[in-house]
Amino acid sequence: MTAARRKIFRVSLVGLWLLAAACAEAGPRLYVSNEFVDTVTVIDLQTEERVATIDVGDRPRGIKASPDRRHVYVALGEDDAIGVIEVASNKALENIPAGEDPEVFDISPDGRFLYVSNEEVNTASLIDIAERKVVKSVRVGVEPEGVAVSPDGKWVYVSSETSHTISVIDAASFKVVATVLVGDRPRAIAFSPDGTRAYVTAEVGGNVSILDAKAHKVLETISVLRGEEKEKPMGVAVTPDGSKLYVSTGRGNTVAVIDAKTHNVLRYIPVGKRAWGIAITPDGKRVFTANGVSANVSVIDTETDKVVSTLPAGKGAWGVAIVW
Amino acid sequence: MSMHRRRFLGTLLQAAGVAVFPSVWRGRAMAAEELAVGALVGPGGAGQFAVAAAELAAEEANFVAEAFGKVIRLLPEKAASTDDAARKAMKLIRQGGAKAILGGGDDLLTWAIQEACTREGIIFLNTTSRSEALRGATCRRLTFHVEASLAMYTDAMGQWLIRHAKQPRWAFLTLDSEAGAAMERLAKRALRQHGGTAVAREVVPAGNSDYRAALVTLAKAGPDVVIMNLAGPSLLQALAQVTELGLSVQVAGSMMEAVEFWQAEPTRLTGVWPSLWSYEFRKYSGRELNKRLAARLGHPAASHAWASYTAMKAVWEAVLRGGRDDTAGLVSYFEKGRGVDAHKGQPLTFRPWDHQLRQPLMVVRSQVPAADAKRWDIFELLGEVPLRGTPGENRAAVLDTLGLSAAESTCRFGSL
Repeated sequence: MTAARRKIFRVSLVGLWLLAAACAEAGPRLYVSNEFVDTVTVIDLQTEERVATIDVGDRPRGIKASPDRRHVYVALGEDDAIGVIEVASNKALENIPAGEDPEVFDISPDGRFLYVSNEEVNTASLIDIAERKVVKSVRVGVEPEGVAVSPDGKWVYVSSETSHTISVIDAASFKVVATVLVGDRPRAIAFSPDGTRAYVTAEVGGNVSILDAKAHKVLETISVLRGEEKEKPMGVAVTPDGSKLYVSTGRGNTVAVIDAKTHNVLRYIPVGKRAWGIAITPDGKRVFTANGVSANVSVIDTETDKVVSTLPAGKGAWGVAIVW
Repeated sequence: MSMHRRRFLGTLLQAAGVAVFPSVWRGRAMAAEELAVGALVGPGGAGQFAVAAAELAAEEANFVAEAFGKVIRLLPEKAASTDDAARKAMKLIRQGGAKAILGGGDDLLTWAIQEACTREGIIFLNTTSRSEALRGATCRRLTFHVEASLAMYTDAMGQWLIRHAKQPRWAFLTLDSEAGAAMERLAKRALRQHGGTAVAREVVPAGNSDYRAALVTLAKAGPDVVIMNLAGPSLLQALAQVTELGLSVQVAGSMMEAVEFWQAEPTRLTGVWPSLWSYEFRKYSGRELNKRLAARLGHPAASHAWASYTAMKAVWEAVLRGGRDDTAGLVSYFEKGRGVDAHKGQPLTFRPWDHQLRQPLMVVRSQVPAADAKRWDIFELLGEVPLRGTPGENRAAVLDTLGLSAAESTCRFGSL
C-alpha cells in the first residue's frame, strides 16, 4: 500500500468511526412520516423530544430504517420516489426513483434491495439501492398497498386493496408464485419472527387474516370489530417473541392486542385519532402508533398495554420507523 | 401407470385442489372459466360513462380473476326504448350467456330490464333508477339496487339541512305530477323525522316552464331552504330562474343528476344536493378510484359511473367469495348480508326487505367553476351522510337512517 493509499484508508476509517459514533450518540430515534405536510418528524426516544423536522418531498407515507441503521427510507407517492434520510445528519439525501406512486415498501434483510408497491399502476417493484434504480417490476392486484419480506428474505408479500389479495412473490426470481384471497381491503402485513406466520390486516373487512407463510394459505381470520363496528384494522406489529400482535384500527382510534397463540383479541387500547402506522421496539417494550388526525404518536408500554406518553408529529402522521 | 391414466389422475387432483382451496392460486394459472356479465344502459351520455366504468371494474377483476379460475367478459349494450331494453336483456342472457345484468335507464326502462331478467331467472343490478316503486310494489327478488332510492336521497337531504346546516324551515316547489308528489311526500317525511317545519308550498302545473312567480312567493315566506320537487329539465329551468331573479334563498332537492348539471350553464346552477358519489371524494381510497375512473372515462366520475363500477365489483366479489355464479348462489350471497367493498369505508350490504344497497351518501353544493378551473368542476363536496354520531347499534342500523324501513316497505318478495 502506498503512503497516499494508507492515508486515504486512515481517513476513511476515521470517517466511519465518526459516523458510527454519531449514530450511537444520537440514541434510539423515531421517524414519523407526515403525509399532509410532506415532512418526517424525528423524535429522540430517550428524551421523547422532537429533534428535527425534515422536508422530504410529496406525500410521504411508508417509512423504514435500513438494517444497518444508517438510513431511513420514506415512500414519496407524488414524487414517484423513495426519499433517503441520513440518520447521522438527519438530512434528506438524493431520492431513489421508485416507479409510479410508491406507497409502502420493505427492505431485504441484507439491506441491498427495496420492495415497493406502486399503487396507481398495480405493480410491485424491486429496487437495487446501490444502483439507485428499479431493476424489476411485476404485476400484482389492483391498488397494491402493504409490502413485507419474510425474515429469511425468500418471500415478498404484497397486499392489493381493491382485489382483496396477497400476491406472493419469490424474492429470487421476483415472480408471483401464489395469489391468496384475504379480508376486504387488505392493508399491512407482518411476519412472525420465526417466519412461519404472516398477519394481514383488512380495513373494510375489519379483520386480520393469519396465513401459513410456508404454504401461503389462510389459516384463520380474526375479527377485531366490536359494538358499533368502528374498527378499521390498518397497521400490524408483532412482538419480538411472537406472542402478541398490535393492530392499529384507524378511525377506531384504538390498538387491538391479539394473542398470537389463541388468536383472541385481548384488549383495545385507546390511542390518538386515526391510528395508522405502527412499530415495536426491538426489545419489545414499546409500541408506537402514528395518529393522522391528532397529528401525534401514542407510546404504548407493552407490559401494561397502556399509553404512557404522546409525542408530537405532523399533520397526517402516517408511518413510524424506529432507529434503535 | 399409463401416461393417459397419469394425466387423468393429475387432472382429477388438480380439480380436487381447486375445490378444496378455492381461495389460493399457486404457480401456473388453471384454465379459466368465463363469467359473462351484461351492461345494459339507456340512451344518453350517462350510459356511455356507466359502461366505461363497468369495463374498468371488469378489467380490474380480471387482474386476479384467472388466478381463481375465472375470467370476466363484459357485454355492453345500449337500449333505445323499454321494448328494446327487454329485447336486449333477453339477447344478453340467451345469446351472450350473461349470468347477471347491471345498468338501467329511466324508471320505465329499468323496470323493463328487471322484468326481462326475472323472466329469464338471472339477477339484475339497478345502477340508475331511484324509483320507490321498483323497491316497493313492483320489487323483484332477483333485483338488487346499487343506486340509492329516492327516500335515501331525501333522508340524506333532511339530515344534512336540518341536523348539520340547522336549516329546519322548508318551503316546497312541487311539480303537479305523480313524481313531484312523491318527492314532496318523502321530503315531508324527512322534515317530520328531523323536527323541521313546512312554511310554504307552491304547486306548478306540469308542462309549465315559468317558475318565477312561485319562487318569489316562496322566498317571501322566509324559509331556510326551498326544496325543489322537480327533476331533469324542469329542475334546471327552475334553478336558472332562481339565479336570474337573484334570489338569495338556499335551494335543495333530491333529484340532482350530475351529468345533466354538467350539460347546463354553470352560472345558472345553485343549490345543495345529496349525491351517490363525488369526483372530489378522497377518503377510503376514493381518491385512487376517482383517478382511475377519470382516466378511463376521460371525465370525472359521476354517480352512475360509480354505481356501474360498484355493481360489476359486487358480482365479482360474490362469485369470488361465495364460490358460485348461478342465480341461486348469487342471491344467497347478497341476501346473507355479505358486504360489498365500494370505496365508502365499510362493507355495504343489501337490505333484506327491498334489496337496496345500504350506503353513505355525499352532499355537494353547486358552484361556479373558478376562472382557472375545469368546466366540469361545478360541485363542491360538503360532507357525508349519515352524519358522524348518528345513533345506531351497528353500521347497518346507522345506514338504515337513510331510506324506508322494513315496516314502511311495501315490497314482498316471492320465492326463487
